[in-house]
Amino acid sequence: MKEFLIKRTLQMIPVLLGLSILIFGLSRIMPGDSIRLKLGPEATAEQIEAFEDSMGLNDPIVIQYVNYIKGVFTGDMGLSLQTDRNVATDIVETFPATFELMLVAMFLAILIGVPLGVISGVKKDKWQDHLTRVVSLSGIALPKFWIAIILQIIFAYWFSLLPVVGRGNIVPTEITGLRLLDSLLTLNFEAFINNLKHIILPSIALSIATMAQIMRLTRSNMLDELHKDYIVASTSYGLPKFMIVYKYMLKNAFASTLTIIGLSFGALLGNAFLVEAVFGWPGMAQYGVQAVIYKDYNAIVGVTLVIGIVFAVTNLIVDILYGFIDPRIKYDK
Amino acid sequence: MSAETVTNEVAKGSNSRFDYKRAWYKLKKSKLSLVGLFIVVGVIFMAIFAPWIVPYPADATGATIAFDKMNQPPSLEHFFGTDEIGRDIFSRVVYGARISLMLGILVLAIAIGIGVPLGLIAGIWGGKIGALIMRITDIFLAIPSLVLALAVAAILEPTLINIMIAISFGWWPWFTRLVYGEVLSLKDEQFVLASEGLGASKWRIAFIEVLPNCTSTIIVKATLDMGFVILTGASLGFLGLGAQPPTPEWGTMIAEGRVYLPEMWWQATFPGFAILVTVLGFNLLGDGLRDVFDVRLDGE
Amino acid sequence: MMSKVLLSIEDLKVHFTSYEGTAKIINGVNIHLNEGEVISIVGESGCGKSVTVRSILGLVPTPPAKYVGGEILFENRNILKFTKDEMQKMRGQDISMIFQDPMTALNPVFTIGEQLMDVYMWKGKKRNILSRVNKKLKQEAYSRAIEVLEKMRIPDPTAIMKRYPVELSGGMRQRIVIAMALMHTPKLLIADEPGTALDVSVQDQILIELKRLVKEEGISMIFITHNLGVARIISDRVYVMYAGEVVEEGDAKTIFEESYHPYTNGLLASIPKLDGSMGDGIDGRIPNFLNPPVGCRFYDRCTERKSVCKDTRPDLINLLNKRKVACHLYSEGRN
Repeated sequence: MKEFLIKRTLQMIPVLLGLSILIFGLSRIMPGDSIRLKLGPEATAEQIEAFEDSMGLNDPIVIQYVNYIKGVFTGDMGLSLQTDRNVATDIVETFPATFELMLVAMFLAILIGVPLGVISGVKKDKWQDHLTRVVSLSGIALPKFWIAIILQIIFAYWFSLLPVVGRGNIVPTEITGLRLLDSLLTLNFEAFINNLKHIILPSIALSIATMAQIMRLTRSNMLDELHKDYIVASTSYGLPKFMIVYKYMLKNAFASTLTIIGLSFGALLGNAFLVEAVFGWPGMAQYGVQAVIYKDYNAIVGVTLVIGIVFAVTNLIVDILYGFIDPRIKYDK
Repeated sequence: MSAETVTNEVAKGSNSRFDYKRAWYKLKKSKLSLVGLFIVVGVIFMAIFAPWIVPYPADATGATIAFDKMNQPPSLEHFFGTDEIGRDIFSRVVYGARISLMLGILVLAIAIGIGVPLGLIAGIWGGKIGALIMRITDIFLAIPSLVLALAVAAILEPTLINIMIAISFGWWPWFTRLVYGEVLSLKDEQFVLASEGLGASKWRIAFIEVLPNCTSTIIVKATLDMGFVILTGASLGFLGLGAQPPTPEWGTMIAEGRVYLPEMWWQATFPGFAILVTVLGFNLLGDGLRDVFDVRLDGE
Repeated sequence: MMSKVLLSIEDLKVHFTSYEGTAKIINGVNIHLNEGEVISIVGESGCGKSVTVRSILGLVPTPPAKYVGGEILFENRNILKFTKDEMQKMRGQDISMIFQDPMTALNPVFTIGEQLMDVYMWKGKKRNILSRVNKKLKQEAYSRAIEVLEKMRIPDPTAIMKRYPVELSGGMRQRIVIAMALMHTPKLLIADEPGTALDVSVQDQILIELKRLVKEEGISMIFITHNLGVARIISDRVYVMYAGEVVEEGDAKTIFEESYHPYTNGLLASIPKLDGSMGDGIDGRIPNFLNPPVGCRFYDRCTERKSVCKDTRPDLINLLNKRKVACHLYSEGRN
């Protein structure tokens, strides 16, 4: 187990290094108008030149890259053109909001997606199945930013049930940065309710596609299970249907579903860019969108790298969980 | 019998296993797939004949201004209402199909054009070249394709063509990985071994023997991806990185219409429906084709 | 000695619908089993023996299967008419089944102990999300599981209880699969070619074990196999099936000594010889079930066919020694 962890972590390094080269390279071939944008229309050529020098932009690209990587290890990810601060500081500040949103969305997706997938698989070709399939296929096809807007119109504007934008205005004492968790830890229920209200719509909008994917996959895994020998055998021993479905089939089916959950985390990260933009959610994805629009190259590189790391770590965690569920998986490979 | 005909015989043997009667039976049996086919054909029809279908072709492409019919809700005259400068939203949505389809087709053409040969090379040649290709693929897949597309879009001017480049940049590795997996499973099949034994060149094995056997997988993947590419394109458009107004791109239209919420809800709503229905159509059809061709894709 | 009939399958007909049409998979099968008796059903794969026995437990999914005729009487009650609840009550308790492949018949993600104990605790019961098991039942289940494992001569049963199937050998798993079926000591045990996936030596051991247990516990058994040699060792009587029909039946011994149907002759010839050479198989394949031959279904492959065989289906006729055969060679009174 320990060896497996070390091995997998070591495997992550070349990929992340490659990713950093790719993104860093892209950011440096960016047209130089970002500096002009930053310094304003009155800036003279000399001023721009001086600024570029101070940012190290006129060094050879290899030197720039080496300096950048050195910086990353000391917590310096370069200056953000939007905020005039260290990109690392910005990311540390915005990441918990995105992470919290993603966790809630993933929680919803699993909580709703798995049972619906089970029902759909067990009631194959009955109305429950058709309904779930149409819903899940539509869920995948839904433009996330659009459903976010629709949710805003219905729940925030028409019924005024929930806030339109933002992350909540009662901030609990910060422990983890995840406000729902922090407010529970400090027993600050007022803050909990307030933040819960704010997170409901964005997390629903974010979770729909993932929920639909999980639903579809659980369904097809359950269908595969139906014809497995050990399931027919369980039936022949006279076990109750409920038990066969929710215990004997589901654990196997979920083991396979778990692998897709790792991948969906990537989709969730991508979709967060859209959902945060619509709901004005002060997270890292929103920061990333701004970075793209303002051509804030250090911020783009920083955000992309963090996403790469989060994605890789999630997949590692999923692999470990998989081993817990399925004893056939051994870590000694 | 020459070596070549033998190889051809064996190869044909493996191709002709496909049973068209059975395929059509399966497709016909699944009503949802037929719905998908119907939608896809409908969207293509709309895209081709847009100028003859829509009531106000000039509104669709240009920035015509008609203050007398600004912000009208849906009516018989304007099915989807009008926008803030009086353009007919229905006409613009129908024209949007042209843009989305073009985007989808071009992105997939680039992605397949790059990804498939690389996958074949990695699988057939193997060794260092193969390993290198697959490691590079891993790097491109290390972040969600939307995020990669955003990063590329940042260095380019926001135009329709550039957005296609940006999306393709992160899309080809999926095809490389798909084809690579297929090649590995086909490598030990009789017809490949036979042609190898008969001294066929690697290029020949890759493109003449193996590639035809990957086509059904590629077709299914491409059909499903068509929907997702359109979705990604619209997402980038929504963030202001794609086609610029007055181009009737669905995502861009939603971003424009969003300003007038919630009173003029129709502006943002109908382009969204168009995306939903189109993507759904491709997904349903792709799903049906997957059952027909009996293909299993990555992660399933 | 007249013993009581435990199970009788009367003129069973099962059709399967597919996109190509209707396949008449089981075409009027008659089989009966007395209490305490062991019978074998012998035939090639695809001859319908599995569908026949799985029908007894209601394990054949409908659709695609459709029961178009006949009945299966277990203790004089027609199983085909059972409600879901009656069926679940009967399974495991009255009739149980041993699955063919020990590699796939155990759930890979649960321990052996959990699977055995669940069968003991939940058989024939309802369960919902709130159901709980009391401690006493759990303990009973545990000791019963150990007891059955010991009966199967499994070394160190307490340790085995904690293992996952993947950690055990094929032979061990096959014994556990048998233990699963014996948890409630059923009246009738159906064995679907147990051990065929294993080494011959391991298979032999398991068959001996199985035969001993069945006799000890007074369980009746239907044994499915494609190997007449195995059938002779294990069973009292033998039914030979071909393409969804019974073509010959009789005492295991007498069939082995003198078989009548050309198909049975072929099966006998295909048993591997003592000198180690493989037997001769039967040429050809089982007929298309969509458009089966009007006459004898074995016609295409038969070495002794006559013109009458092509168009007239032979009936199962009685011969001496309680033997029966469905073949025109014997229809004119030749015994």
